[in-house]
Amino acid sequence: MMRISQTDWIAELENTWLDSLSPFQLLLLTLVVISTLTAVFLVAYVILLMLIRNRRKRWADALQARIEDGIAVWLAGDYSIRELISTFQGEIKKDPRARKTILNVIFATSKLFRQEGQAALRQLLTDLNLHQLCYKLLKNWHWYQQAYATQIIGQLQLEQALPLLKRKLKTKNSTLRLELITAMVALGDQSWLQEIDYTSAHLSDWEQIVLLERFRRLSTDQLPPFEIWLTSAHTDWVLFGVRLCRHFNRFDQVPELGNLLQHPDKKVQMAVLDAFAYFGSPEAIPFLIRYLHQATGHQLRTTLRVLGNQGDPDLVTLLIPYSTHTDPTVQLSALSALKETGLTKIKLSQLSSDPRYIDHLFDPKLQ
Amino acid sequence: MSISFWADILSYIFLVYTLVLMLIYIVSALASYRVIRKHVAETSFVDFRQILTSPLSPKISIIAPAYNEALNIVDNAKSLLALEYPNFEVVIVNDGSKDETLQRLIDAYKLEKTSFMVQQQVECKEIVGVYKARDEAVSHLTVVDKRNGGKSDALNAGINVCAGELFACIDVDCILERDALLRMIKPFLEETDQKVIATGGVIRLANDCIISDGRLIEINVPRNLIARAQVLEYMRAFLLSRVAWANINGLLLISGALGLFDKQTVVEAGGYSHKTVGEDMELVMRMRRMMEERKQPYAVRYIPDPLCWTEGPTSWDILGRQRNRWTRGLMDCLKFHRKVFFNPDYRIMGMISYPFWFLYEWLAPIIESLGLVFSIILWILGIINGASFWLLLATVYSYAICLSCLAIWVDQKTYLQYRSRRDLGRLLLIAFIEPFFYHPFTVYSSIRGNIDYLRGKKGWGSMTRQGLSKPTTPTPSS
Repeated sequence: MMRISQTDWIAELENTWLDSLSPFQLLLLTLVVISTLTAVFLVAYVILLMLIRNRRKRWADALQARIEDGIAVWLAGDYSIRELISTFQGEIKKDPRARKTILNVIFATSKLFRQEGQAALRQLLTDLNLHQLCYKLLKNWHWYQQAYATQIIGQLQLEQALPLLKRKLKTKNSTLRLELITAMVALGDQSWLQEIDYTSAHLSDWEQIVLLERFRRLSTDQLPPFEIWLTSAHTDWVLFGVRLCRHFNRFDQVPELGNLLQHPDKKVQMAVLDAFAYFGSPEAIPFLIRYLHQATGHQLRTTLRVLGNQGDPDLVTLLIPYSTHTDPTVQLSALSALKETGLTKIKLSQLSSDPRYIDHLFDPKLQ
Repeated sequence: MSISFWADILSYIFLVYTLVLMLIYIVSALASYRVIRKHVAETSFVDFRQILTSPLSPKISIIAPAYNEALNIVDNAKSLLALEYPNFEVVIVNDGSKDETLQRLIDAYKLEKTSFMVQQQVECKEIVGVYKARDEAVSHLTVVDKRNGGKSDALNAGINVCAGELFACIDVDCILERDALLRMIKPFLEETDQKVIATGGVIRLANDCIISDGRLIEINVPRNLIARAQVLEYMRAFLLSRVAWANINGLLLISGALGLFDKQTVVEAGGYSHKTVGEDMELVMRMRRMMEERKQPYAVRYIPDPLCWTEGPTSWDILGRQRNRWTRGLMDCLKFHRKVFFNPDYRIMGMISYPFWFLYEWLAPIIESLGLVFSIILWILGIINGASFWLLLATVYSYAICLSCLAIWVDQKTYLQYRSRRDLGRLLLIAFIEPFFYHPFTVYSSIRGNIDYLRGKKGWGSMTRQGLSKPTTPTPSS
């Protein structure tokens, strides 16, 4: 029997197969091989991922439970900090990945305490040298690692990190920027106010919602002096200033807000109208009357409603002409405003040509 | 010139077409994965519940058209009313149902007819009545009763009645994640340089999933092979394609099952069209065209999170009708907006999105079928190169499997919707067998859709649903 060596066999294959393949067929063959190998790799990866994930989860859950128990015992006074540190160092020695888990648990625990209760956890963090891990994460290439470290720094008030935080303020990543501002406010540093105003022209509604909600958790003396933003060169910051004035009941800012009704941005105008509707302050009426003559569309309808909410009978003569406006939605807003000033159903019926408006306004189910 | 010369030319055309399609798919899959990873990382820092207490959150109106939905309408309404959002209303539009849809809602929520004055902002059939609840707890429910006019007409009626700055159009029988609105509102609030006109969300199939009180309790891969193949198809479409299209602001379709729209832009564009069964895609295309023609900066965004669960067809008959309708809808959209085709005035929409939909979404099943016919002719003539033919088939098959595996991999790396080994095994199995039975059928249905369109067929065709699975009522001891 003739024996063919391996080299001969490959040469044979090349002669009979590959040599006879056209470039078109070779291309297809390459694609088949690449696709098949990729599919096999992906399937293997997915299966491996599933196995590793389950194993890792079991390990992390067990470790987390031990760390949580340790902290709970320490906080209850049954463990000294030295004993706790030595236990945790033992865990880190066994597996360095435990550092991240310990950091996570300390961070999660710190959220349960008020500001004055953070000192003990901060001490624990520093003694375990985990604050260095935070600073390292802050310098990480990935923004989400930086944002996570910033959260911890703000929560546990690691003041030494302030210069690092300031340097990052120019970031274009809005999530990171939000975390940086929150951390700096928590650390009592207001220097970001100037920097942020001039370095970033935009502050989206989303960022405003998040910051507003975070500011709401602060005491009044911790709040930044947001009224300075009413004169900012950047529209988004003016808008945020107006919204904060409304939210923190800054009645003293009514004149400044009234002047902002002349701001070219419609969102700012609407925010001022919203603030005035909320304040219900009679001081706002002159500004609203002035604005009424220039407003159109949605702004006009809102102004009419805000004026109506004042419930001032003196405004009736001003509002009546709008009840016959060419835009039916404006008519409805004017009639609604007139109703608020105390006009009866009969009087309103005389003003309106369409009885459906009056039925709509007086239907109790639509109130 | 000989037949074999022309056969070679045609072969190369088919080959180039296939290779370009494969390249587009792989590029969009990789781009999608990158975007999803970033989105997941970003979302981990977001506490969506912050919006729940925020006075700055804009009002959203949920518009849910209902036609002959008496069986489940009360449960569906309950599910919508329980969504998490601080400032929203639910507008259910009874599109002239022939069953007890309206009466069931009236009885369940003690609704009363109001003197609501409807502003006719977009065209719709006569609104017979607007109902509100007496109970303060459901004061955010409005039921509109109107003459039958189809889904687009019902949506337009909802737009005329709703009060939100944004409105979400949803299929009434879909299960939404509780925080779906909180997640979908984010793109509208994030943009500062351009106006977000619409946001879409990922739709997933809920066949064989366990649902209780309008909430998804357990996610399972369907046992039915047709539904299972659709799970994979949806994963490929939503995870590997649409995310990438949205990333380059080239998205033309926001599924009718779930979309959030800027009301002012929709009204200015004229609302939903009555002339097509693809009203969801047509609206997005019309809005985009309007914004392009006005030279206003805008964006159509997409949330890769699974937000909406729906029931997929489980029989060939219903699946065929669905795909037939999708094809006819697509052809309408391409016809109505043909002006956009390779028109640089429409930028990405004109130069990339529309040509892609034309060449690779509409034309692909036709080219695929022609390729098959071409191969058969060559076979009969005896001039086919057997090796090339089988290699081409192997390429397409291995590539299809590779893409399906990629979709499963992306899901496992990001959202991890299917966690059990059994589900994963089922998905992998269907990835290997789906090209033999499911894909040919969708191609066939698409060809039928083309033929029906040319014959002038209109309308949706009946879409019978079996109903999503619900757990049995627990006994007191359990």
